Amino acid sequence: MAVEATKVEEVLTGRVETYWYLVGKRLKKHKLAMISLVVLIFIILACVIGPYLSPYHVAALGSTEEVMQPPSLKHPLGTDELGRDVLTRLLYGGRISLLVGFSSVFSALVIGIIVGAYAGYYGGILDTLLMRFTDIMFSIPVMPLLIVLSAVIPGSGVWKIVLVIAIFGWMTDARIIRGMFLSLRENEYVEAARAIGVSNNRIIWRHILPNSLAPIIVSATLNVGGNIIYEAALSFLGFGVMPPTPSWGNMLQNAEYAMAIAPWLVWSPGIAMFITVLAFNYLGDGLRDAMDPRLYR
Amino acid sequence: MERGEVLLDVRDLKTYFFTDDGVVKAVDGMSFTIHKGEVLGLVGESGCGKSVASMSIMQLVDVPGKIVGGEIIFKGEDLVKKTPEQMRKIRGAEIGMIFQEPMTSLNPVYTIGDQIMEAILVHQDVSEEEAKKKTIELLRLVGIPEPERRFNQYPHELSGGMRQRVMIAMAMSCNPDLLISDEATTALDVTIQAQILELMKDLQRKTGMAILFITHDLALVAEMANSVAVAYTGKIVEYGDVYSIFKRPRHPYTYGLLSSVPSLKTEKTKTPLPAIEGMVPNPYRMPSGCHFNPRCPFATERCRKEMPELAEIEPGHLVRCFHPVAVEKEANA
Amino acid sequence: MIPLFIGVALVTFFVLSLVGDPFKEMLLNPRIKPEDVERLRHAWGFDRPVYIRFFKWFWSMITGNWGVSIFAGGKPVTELIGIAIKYTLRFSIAALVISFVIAVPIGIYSALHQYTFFDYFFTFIAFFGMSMPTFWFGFILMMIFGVRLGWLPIGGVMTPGIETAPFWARFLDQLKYMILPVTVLSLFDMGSWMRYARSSMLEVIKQDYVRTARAKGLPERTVIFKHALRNALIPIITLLGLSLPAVISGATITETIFSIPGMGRLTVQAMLSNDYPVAMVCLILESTLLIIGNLIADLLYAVVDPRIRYS
Repeated sequence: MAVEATKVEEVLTGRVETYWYLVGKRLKKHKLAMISLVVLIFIILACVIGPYLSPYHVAALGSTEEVMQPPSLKHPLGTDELGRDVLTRLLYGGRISLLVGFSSVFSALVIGIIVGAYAGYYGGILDTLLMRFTDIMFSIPVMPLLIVLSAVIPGSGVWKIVLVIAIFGWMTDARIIRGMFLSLRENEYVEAARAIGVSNNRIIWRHILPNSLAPIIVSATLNVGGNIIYEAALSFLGFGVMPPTPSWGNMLQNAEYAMAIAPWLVWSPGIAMFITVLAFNYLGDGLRDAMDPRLYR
Repeated sequence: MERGEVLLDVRDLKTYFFTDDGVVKAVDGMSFTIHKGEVLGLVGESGCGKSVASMSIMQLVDVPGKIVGGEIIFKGEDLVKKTPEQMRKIRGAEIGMIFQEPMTSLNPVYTIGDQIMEAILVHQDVSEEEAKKKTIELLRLVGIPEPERRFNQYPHELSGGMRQRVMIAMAMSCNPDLLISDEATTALDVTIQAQILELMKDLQRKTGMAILFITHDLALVAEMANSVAVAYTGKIVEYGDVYSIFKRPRHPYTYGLLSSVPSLKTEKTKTPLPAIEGMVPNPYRMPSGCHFNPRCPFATERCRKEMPELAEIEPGHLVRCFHPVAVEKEANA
Repeated sequence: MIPLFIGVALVTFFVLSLVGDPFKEMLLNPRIKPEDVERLRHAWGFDRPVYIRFFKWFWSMITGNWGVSIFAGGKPVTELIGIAIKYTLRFSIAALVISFVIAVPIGIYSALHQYTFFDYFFTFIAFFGMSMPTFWFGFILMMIFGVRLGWLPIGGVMTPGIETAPFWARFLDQLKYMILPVTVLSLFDMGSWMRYARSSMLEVIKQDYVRTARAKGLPERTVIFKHALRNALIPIITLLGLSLPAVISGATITETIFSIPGMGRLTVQAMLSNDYPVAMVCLILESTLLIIGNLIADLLYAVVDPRIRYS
């Protein structure tokens, strides 16, 4: 097991190399993943700090001459149909898109972990029930219901989307965690812990869970990218983040007619999304390689 | 013991692995010989390079490994210099190999009959009919009951012991001159292990093939081998016939290995089982001089600076040490 | 499986019922009298509570009576779905076949030639496909090929008025309309199939039985194509089974952008206009296919992997 192998290393080199240290070391060798990490950090910083630095306010409407202007020195990415600065909106929208991406993944993770951990650890009837429930959720077509739920749940905006995406996204994680728990709970240290009298909950959360996180981390990273696209698709169709709050998705809403007269309105959100998702994908792939104990270069 | 002519002569073989973290000298100047019909036991702990040596003989070393020096003279020709196509003809036909994990060494989606037959068909010019007959004969030879029925079965339908028999059948299908057994019995139950060893000895007697028997288990070596080569960190540290090695081990490592095997006597005397101090060194950080010196109770300054050469200490008995042990051991086998 | 089906039907129905009364909007229309709306409501059974509606609907589903659409002029649901499926199938199957046939061999080749330029190049292509938001990509393609260059049409399935033309002209015409949507549809799948095939092959090559095959002296071609490939394809084939549902349910967004009257668009339109009969059938169809798709994947797995057959 990866953890035990490192103990030998510890003795030989006198340095404590935990599992995560080794993962980090291997990840660093993956150039594309490291570049992606840097790019992502840059994007996150830009979106968080950018709007504060911009001379324009997100919702500031421009005068009639300023409407639909191609990129210029004053507006590096041009203006939209209401004269608003595209760059500022892009950065602000990035905040929203990233926020949705991260929180939806996080929420899905929480639900998935809880379901998977208890199903995998206790087994028996609880397991069967939870897995039946998971199967039902799996068999429900996502897109249509996503649309319906977002149309039906009152309130606009970000948290609705996060909730909706999380409701349909926890199942894969649940299955993965359950699988990990099923195998890990047979380990001796679990028996030992029980023999000492450690409570079940503590065993689950403190002992088994940390060891089952590896595959989850990979899928979570990849899902952030996927969810950003999901949110964009929903917003684009009119169900997600509502204007005037910008998100990369709803900035593309008017793309259809803008295509012919103001192509820059179409390019910027799309490219921003593409680069972000690409970075998440490369990072996730790099993490997967780094964490796979059998994959040596 | 009368030795036939030399079948395999490994001279100063060096196989290095070029990894991102450094160069691992898995095999660093190994030399040993196998004569026709002889069983050579290649012994050593995990990581001593014995498996890599066997893969090197078969020219199956995978990147990042590479044979960087030495010669492997098989039937008078150097295998290292052979082209891949020439080597392919030798593999399976003249040198057979069986591996440690019978569970995973057979392809799960093809029947065992198919897998044995393909070895025959690829090396011999026979019809499918004949190949099938030969396969069933082989299955019978290795002791698998109801061979006709088993022919159509898949690997997962057989037990570990039977799978290993299938592996042996496959390796022997073209009557090789040399069989390489790389820890073939390690993953089996003790009773099955004994059966497989019996089988191998039996086959060896019948066909006169030589066996390179690789293992970490000294007891097996005592049972199977005519000659023994002891490996440590990529080099052979002691080499000789089985009686000399077991009765008069000269290298401190061999001595330590033999002492750590419990015997009926140890129980009576109630002395603690001696173990060799320390651990196998990190391949990226080999000690200077003789690689065994950190663990050797007799190490001297010279040992820490110089690497000893393999030298003949008695006729047919070679040792790589500056101060070989000079104690008679009681026969344990 | 039956309980699963019932469960799915239940959940779907209830979620849909959250959308509310399909006749609500009619009340806003001053030209429709409230009594008429009430009459309609009663005729369609919407004045009954939800659970009763569910049972009535479920019963009629099982007995084969799939009802008529509330809004599309009372056309039977089966007819509407029949038309939509025709188009969806055309595009989805084309996309599936193209992405599979192109991506899998590339993925396998990449695995066999790891770390070469080919590998890096196609890995990038795969990531490109997987990271590209499909609707945006569709737009870009439309913009470039449709608007700027005028080479390809930007929507619909055929040129209006061409129905009278001979078969070949119609066929080629429809082909022209398929190019952009199919490209967009297959992009993501191509990327993921490529990666999947590559990683499956990589794993298989490291297996012990491949080493055994080489040790037997088999030619490298046999080792790769007979021993390795067969095992590498097992998970890929089962994935194929799981892609089946998507073929029928269509890709909502692509269909919307390219104005293709397919299942995806039909489903969404029906859901939003509260056209219950149509919406429910669409959703149930998709759910059933998902369940069947899982089954098919399991079956395929058993066919392809002898280890599974006996347990």
